[in-house]
Amino acid sequence: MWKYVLRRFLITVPTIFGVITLAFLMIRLAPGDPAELLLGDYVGISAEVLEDLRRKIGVDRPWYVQYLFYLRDFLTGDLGTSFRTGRPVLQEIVSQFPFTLMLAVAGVVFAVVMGVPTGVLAAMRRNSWLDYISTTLAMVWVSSPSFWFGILLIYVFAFLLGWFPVFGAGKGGNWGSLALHLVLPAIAVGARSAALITRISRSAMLDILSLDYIRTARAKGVVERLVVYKHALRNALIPIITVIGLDMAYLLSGTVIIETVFSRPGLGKYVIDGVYARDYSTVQGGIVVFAIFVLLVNLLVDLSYAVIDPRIRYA
Amino acid sequence: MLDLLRRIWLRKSAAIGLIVVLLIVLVALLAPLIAPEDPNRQDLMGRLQSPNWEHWLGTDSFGRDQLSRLIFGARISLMVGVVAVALAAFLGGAIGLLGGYYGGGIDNVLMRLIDVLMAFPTLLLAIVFLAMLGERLGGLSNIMVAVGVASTPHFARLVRGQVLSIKEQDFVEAARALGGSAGRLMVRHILVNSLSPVIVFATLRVATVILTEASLSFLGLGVPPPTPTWGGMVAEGTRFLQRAPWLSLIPGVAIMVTVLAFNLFGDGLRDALDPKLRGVGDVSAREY
Repeated sequence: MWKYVLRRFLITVPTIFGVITLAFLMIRLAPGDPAELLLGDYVGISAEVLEDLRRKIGVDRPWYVQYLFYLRDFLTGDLGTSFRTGRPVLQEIVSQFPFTLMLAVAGVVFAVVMGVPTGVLAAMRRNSWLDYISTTLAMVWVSSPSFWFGILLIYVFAFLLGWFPVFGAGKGGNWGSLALHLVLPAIAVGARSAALITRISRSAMLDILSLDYIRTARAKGVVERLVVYKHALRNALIPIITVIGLDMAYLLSGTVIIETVFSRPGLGKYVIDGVYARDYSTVQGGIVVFAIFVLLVNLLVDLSYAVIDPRIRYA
Repeated sequence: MLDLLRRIWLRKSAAIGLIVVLLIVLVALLAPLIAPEDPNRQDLMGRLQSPNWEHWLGTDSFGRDQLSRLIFGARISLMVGVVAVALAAFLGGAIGLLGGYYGGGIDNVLMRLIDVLMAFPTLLLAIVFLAMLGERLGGLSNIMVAVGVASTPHFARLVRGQVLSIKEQDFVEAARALGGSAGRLMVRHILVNSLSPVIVFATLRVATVILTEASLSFLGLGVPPPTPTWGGMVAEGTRFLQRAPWLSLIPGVAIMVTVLAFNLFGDGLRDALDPKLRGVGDVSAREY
């Protein structure tokens, strides 16, 4: 098992290196002189001042030297300084990240709690009204834009019914307030995944319920509840977990836009605000941390297969 | 072709998807003829009207007719959807074909690059490409290129997988034995035979790309105003959500219906072309 974990981890390392390099190239290829961007709207700056600033932030050197310095800084945890706030990017990311993590985890929890039971029920009552309604709703949900769904939730549950607060993430330290602010964004982030998980759970359960060993279990008189939960669902979990894992990247992508809809702090909003302000070191640091997070989630998903399905470890 | 249409027609949901897609294409093409007003004509005296006989979907904060803007907005969504997917299929197809056919070092390098690109959520990747492009291509072309390039890795993976299985088959071997050049083998024999899943994936991907474009427009990073885009209309409407909720909610329904139609049509096309392709769509549905 440990050999598998180590091998899988070693495959991730070059990809992380690639992500860091790509982020460097993307930002260096962006239009505009970083020094001029840093000065913003100041007009009439002399060439000497600009040159001095370029030397100070290191963009006067050839690109490969800049790249080596960038790598060195990155490996020592220095992601640069935000043009906007003047604070170290890493420090800002560390303060924003917990909000995104909280939103993503709450979104996944919502998606699983909604999706798996609905899919299993739909499979067990195939062709019933429950099956039709859940599959139709899942198709509609998969097709609706998450930002629009978020706005719909705000309109109904915050404006019309007044059950939930609209904007922000709540008061730090006050768990009740944090949780209350999390409900609507988590539903908006997780809705599409819930729909996908419903569809996959249904088809995985249908596949497995038609297999011989299930017929055997029923024939020898095992209670239906045990057949479904112990014999069938456990084996249906592999495709379901695959979809949850693959969907994590999408779900994280969803946090980018949902954080903006609900004006929640978080990594996604941090990157978007950086793009608006052309604060490239913010964008660079933000997307690298985002991508590394996605890679680590993929790694965890792969490792979880090995735990669930022992055949994978020895493959 | 007729047989394919008949098989799609037999599936009710696919037929509905196809009809809705055709209707939306028609609306986009005929926009100047069927829109009741110029989508950018402002009427500040008649702003924020609720739906009425004169303005079926009401007016926005500048007094512009929402129905006309919705009709013209279909053009941007469809154009970005189709062009970006075509670009992604072309670039991804070329990468997948080269990697899959030659294997070895070339494949390794290309696939590691694809791995790196896939680590970024597509929306984020598109945003970064947009930032990179700056003002270089201008509005609409920027969006098409950014979203197209961000969707490339998915096509590269798909085509590579196809090429790997097809290149081992006897007919390719026979063509090679007859002296076919690498280029001819790749295009005339391998690519042509791997088109079915690519077409299905591309149809479903249009749906995903329309969602990405809508998200970018919603964030204010899409085609700049006053050009009407569905995502932009949802964003503009949020400022008046309490007073005029339809401003945000109706364009969202338009996005949903279009995406749903492409999804239904894509699913039906997949079943009609080859039932063995089940699963191709599930990949496309997972992110945007």
